[in-house]
Amino acid sequence: MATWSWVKRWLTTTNHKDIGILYMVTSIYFFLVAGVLAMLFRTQLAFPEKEILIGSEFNQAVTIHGLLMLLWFMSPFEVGLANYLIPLQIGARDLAFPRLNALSYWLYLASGLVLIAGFFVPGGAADMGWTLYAPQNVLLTGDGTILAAVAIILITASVTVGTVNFVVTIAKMRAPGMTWSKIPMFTWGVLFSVLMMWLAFPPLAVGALALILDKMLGTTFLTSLEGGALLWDHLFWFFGHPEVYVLLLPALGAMADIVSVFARRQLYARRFVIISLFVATALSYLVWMHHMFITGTSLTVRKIFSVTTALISIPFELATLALIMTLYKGRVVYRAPLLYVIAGILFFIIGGSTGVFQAAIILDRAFRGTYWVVAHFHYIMVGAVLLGLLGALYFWWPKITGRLYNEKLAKIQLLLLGVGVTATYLPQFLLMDMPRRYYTYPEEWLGLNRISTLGAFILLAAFLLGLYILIDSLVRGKPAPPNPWKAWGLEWAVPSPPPRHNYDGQPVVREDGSIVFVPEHELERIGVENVMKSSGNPELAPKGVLPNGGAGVKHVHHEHWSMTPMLVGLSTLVMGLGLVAGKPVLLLGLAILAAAIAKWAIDDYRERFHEDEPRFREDWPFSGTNKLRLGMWTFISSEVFLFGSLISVYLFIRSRSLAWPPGYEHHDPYIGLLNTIILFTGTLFYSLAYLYAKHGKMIKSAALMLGTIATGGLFLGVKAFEWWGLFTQGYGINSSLPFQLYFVLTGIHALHVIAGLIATIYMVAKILSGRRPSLTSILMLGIYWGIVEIVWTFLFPMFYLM
Amino acid sequence: MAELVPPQEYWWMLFNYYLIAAVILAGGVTMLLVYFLLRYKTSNEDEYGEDYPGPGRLPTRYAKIGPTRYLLVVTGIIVLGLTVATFPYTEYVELTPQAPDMTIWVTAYTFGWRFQYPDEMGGFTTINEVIVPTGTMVEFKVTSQDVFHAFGIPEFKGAKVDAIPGIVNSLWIITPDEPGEYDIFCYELCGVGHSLMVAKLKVVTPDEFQRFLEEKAGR
Repeated sequence: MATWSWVKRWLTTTNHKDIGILYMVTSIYFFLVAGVLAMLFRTQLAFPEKEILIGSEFNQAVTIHGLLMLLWFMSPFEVGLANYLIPLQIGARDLAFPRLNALSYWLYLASGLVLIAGFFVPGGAADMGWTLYAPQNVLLTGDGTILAAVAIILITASVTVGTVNFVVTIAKMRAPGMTWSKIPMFTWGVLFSVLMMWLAFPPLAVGALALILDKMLGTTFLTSLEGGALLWDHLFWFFGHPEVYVLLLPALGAMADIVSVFARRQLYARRFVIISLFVATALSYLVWMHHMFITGTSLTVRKIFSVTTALISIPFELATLALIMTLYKGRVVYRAPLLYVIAGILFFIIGGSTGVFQAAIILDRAFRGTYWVVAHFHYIMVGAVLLGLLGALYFWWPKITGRLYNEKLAKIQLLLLGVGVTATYLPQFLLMDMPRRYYTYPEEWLGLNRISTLGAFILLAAFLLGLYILIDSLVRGKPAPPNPWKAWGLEWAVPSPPPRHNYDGQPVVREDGSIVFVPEHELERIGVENVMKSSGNPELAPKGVLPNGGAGVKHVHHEHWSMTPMLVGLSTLVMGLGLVAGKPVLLLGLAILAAAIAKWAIDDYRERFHEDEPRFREDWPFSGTNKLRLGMWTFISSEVFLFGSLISVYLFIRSRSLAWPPGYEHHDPYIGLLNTIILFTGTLFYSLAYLYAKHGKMIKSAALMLGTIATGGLFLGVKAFEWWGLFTQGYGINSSLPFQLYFVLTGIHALHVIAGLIATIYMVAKILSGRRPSLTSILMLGIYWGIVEIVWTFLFPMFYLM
Repeated sequence: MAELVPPQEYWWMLFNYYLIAAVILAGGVTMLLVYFLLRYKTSNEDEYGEDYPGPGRLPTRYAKIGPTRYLLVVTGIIVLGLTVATFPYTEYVELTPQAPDMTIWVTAYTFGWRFQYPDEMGGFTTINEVIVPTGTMVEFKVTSQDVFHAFGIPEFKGAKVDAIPGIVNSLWIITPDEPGEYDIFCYELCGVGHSLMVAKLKVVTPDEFQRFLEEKAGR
């Protein structure tokens, strides 16, 4: 029974600390898989004349190694740390939407398993490199590529949900006094990172969708000359370059905090570092074409991207200098986390300055596709990001586990890592002529490759030692005090590990930077403002300030849990595998999804899931909005980006097509206009429904929502009629490109209409059965309908008029 | 033929400038880091720097930025300056400066290279081997018949373009005055045979090249 409750806890948890641990453990599993793959292909590269791992198997190993390391290890590990730490760092009890947080995790786990399942299907896993270049990703690969594309779409869903959660949490859930200027750099790094994921992943998901359609339904987005290689390049790298900074910024933030703690100084030029990271976030969307310097696009465009690429190095220079300057006049104590971060900075300097070389088009012509590039980004990814993250793990490990670890061994591990990174990747700079992903090569490169492989085995030893250190600490480690490093920050003011609800009493950051935990009734009595000013003023001092995170005082905490997120994750896993395994599996997955959504609705209807709303908080400048509203806006912006990417695909393909029949040749503009009017009417009904709800007239509101449902249904009916007409004429999704785009874009739009209908039906049912949905939720659904409407006003002229 | 500088000479020149700048800047920053580490080391855990917030507390104001901002401006100018300074050379390499002596069409396929000689030389094709005379400006027009490849001759630094279906990219080289043999590789993962997509560029004396052409014509 005890085991069952343990299993149940982890399957249904919605606690941010639990989910953080799940994220980190899962990501370490994927890290081990990706690491084993790396050892396999490095072994082949040490013996190029032998056939240890060649052909497609070699390509699968490098492909899945890259995908797993970037998307399923590093980023989720950071999300795990962020999950655990951010509420503690900003003084919240949990993330803003705990159930969605669990959903992010289960979607992430499902996506990773779908990717790895590729090894067990005919043709093996995806084998076109982690960049999955077109058109070989369609033409020359097996079912594993479909699974990789599904995995990408699922992880896109996961990070989108996660982004909503982190943005709202950081914006709306900070403890009183926790102003923007006080939140730690790690939280800042995660915030910028999720802001990048928010807009970078939709184009990638669109590319993955095109890949699935091309492979399964015979469309030609990625194989035609109009779309093809360059279309994929743009979609992929628009995601791909920001992704580098997605991984880098949380690590850099953690490194900044760690340096500051062990140098016993504040981070040098903190405000400028924050601004420069923001600049880097914005610029990261404008550098992607430096991955396409030799594809033959216009030289002027490439020059612009060359300059933006050089520019983006400057904010990172500032960050690096700030880290170093923080040591100036400090009292530097050489603890293990600091040493990891110092090593990370050293490798970052090398990786960063070699990146500047590649900003020059002429130099990049020689580097493109060679081991120079491999060396450069591994110096960043392994040298800087991974070492920084290990530093972060060793820094927060006592907080998370409540155990100390063997620091001497950790330092030995760092020595191994330093030697390993240098031995593995330094020779790769010298291999600047050797093509990437060659499993055999001329004799002249043998020596350097062997050193590199030797380095990889040193790295393996280092990571095994690391695992030993962690397990040893869990088993035998001494209990950790709340603040073993004498570190600043709110998380260090609570016990290690923190209690399940983080704090009794409400944390308040006072004006002098001290933190007090105050019972809520005391806060009410004295007033938050007065508590903040109370440091030097005994009269204002709250009674019953709780020491040490307020341990020991009863706090009414609503434990929350839910199994629906896990069910949704499971359904996506089954559906993803079903795309390859066949219809019955696919239908099973759909059934589980339907059951999960129904359960979610029932839970919501019965108000079974209770989330604590912080009563006292710092949320400038978002005080005027509530968390649901902010969350929905964040989500809707990502929807806008999704449709923006789809429309960009349309424009890209159309602009490169020699002939394009005007839309009205195949699609009746009058029917299109009729449908436009129908959809407009539905939105109008809904607006009125909202106005009635605002004035408390719920029945009239529900009646108008029924109008929206009717018009939405009618819209779909007309759409089905149009599609049927085209099918009978012999047109389908695999006809010419204009038809492919028509079916895909209007199809995705129709899916959004269906989702809107389901939500509206639920809303009506809720009202008619006497419950009162919050006005915000009614408004948010209205904004959703508005977006559906606006998208259609783009699609109508694109397909019917032009 | 006007004297043209072989593109790889410019490449090496720029690479060396970058290397010098990188070594000076990165080395300087590294030395600063090491110096601070050694200079401010302490074993006393309870000693705090002047603006340290203190254990379990939070910072109350931002730390100031000092003279580092000038360093930043300087490095920023160097990085941007270096990048912009490469543009004339990029144009030189990319925009073929004069009519080439010969143009060879390269078609990548899974998994090999097909070279088509100009019509006036016979218009024949060769597979995975391309023979050109010494001291000649040769242009390669590169495309692909199936998937995404990349054509590169590493010995001639910067002689690399993507081979993409439906797109023709070109590059030019000046062959050395001495005969020699150079590797051609595929620089984009294109499938199971990617590693085997190796071709040879053979530079031969004009006489030998003439014999090669006659042999091809006679066949």
